[in-house]
Amino acid sequence: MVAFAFSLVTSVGAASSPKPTQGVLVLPARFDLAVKPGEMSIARELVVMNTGTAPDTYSIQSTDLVVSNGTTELLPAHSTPYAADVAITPATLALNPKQQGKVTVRFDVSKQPVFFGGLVIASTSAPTPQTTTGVAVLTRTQIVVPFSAAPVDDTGELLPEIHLAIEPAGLRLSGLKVGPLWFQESGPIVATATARNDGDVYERQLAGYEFSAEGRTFLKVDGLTQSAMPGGSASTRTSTVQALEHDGGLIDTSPIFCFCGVRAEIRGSIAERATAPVTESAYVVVLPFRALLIVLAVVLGALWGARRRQRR
Amino acid sequence: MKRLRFALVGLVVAALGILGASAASAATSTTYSVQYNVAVVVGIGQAIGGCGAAPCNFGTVVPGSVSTSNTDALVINSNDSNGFQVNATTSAATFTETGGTGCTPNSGNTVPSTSVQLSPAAVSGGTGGTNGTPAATFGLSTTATNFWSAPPTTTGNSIIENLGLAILAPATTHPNSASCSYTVPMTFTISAL
Repeated sequence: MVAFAFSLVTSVGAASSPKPTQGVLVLPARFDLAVKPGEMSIARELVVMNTGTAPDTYSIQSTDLVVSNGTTELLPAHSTPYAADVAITPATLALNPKQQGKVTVRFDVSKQPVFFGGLVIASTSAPTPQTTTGVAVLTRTQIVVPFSAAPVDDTGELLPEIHLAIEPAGLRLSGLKVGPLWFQESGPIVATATARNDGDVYERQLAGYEFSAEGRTFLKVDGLTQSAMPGGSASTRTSTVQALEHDGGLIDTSPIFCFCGVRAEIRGSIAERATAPVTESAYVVVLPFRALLIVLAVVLGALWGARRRQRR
Repeated sequence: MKRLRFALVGLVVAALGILGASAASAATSTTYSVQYNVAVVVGIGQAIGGCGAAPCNFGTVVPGSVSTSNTDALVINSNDSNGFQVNATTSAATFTETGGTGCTPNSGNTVPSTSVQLSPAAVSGGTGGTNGTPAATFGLSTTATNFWSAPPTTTGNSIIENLGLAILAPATTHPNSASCSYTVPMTFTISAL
């Protein structure tokens, strides 16, 4: 058996004192641009703040992105057909702890008014692994600020050649599906709606859910925002247990007995414009099946016992 | 009658006092209105190199067995109730041993990136929203892997993600040459949804 000691990934001597922290914060966290007629470039400001405890230098670079099943993958700049021409000044920022700096990001929209990509903000400094025998990990953090753009007319509506579209691709509920109905034990109903980007541009998908019992709505809630590439799909999920915005307290609207309906309404969005919503519906029978089985077992047991006594 | 007169005088004096105070206040104060926009913010940080305040220590790594686990505390900042996602990725599928003075790397001594096992957790320390449904333990790869199957939507400036890190080196992993070590870099990328 071969054993080897694991080495540390920090400077020698750091073991005795707490390590400094490295952190970065940016705002805004995304850019959604509407390219107006005649516009050649769009400039936006990005604020970068050093939230670590040591001075640090950050690089800000443009990258191509793809989104697949909710995962954002970084690709080299200009490797996709919807890559953007982006100029970033300055491309690096040296910041002291708690200090913030501004970067101007200029998107060239003269040739390519439809694009999707991201800005990667990362520290340029990295710790040196200790050179002793073993296996070490070296972890780094970075931020991706996604950006997207599409051309609009003077009124802000998308140009006709931009095909923003969305198609429902299924609403799944917690429990077991038998025919058109779902069946589940009493408790939270979890709904997962999937929609396909049927257009030819990247889109953000904005979902809203409505839970009803016997036709009466008892919960309306927004789902997560997800992104999908053309031809790709995205899913959002929500449940009848929701956390309150102000204190994090939970509100549980889960039914014990119910013939419940769940409706998801999803829109595709780019350049601050959204499609008409597509809706997906499903129905679920909620019952305390376990308790009912126990009652049934007790009743059957009593009947069996009574019959045995009668036979004697 | 006399008492009633005193009471009336008292009331009038009090009313005049309130009026005077209001007038004085109006004369010395100005009404400001403050207008500002709040942008969507996202941030991430950690102890330099990872594994919190103390260095990562996986103990003795035995090939074929999972090592001692470490917790890498990531501090997340988000004011976006739409949520955020963090993924992990690395630059190569295998890593050859490296080192400084005294290390003569053997190109045959490699470890796969998947020997680093990541175990995400639900976040804590945020306000409202959800804390995310963590993905199952996964091996680090060149394909970005999300931390949460249902991303967190909680907000705050000290949201903590306690990521579990362990080493599961294949049983066939070669011992290092003198003064050399296997170093696996990984990048955690956060983005707003």
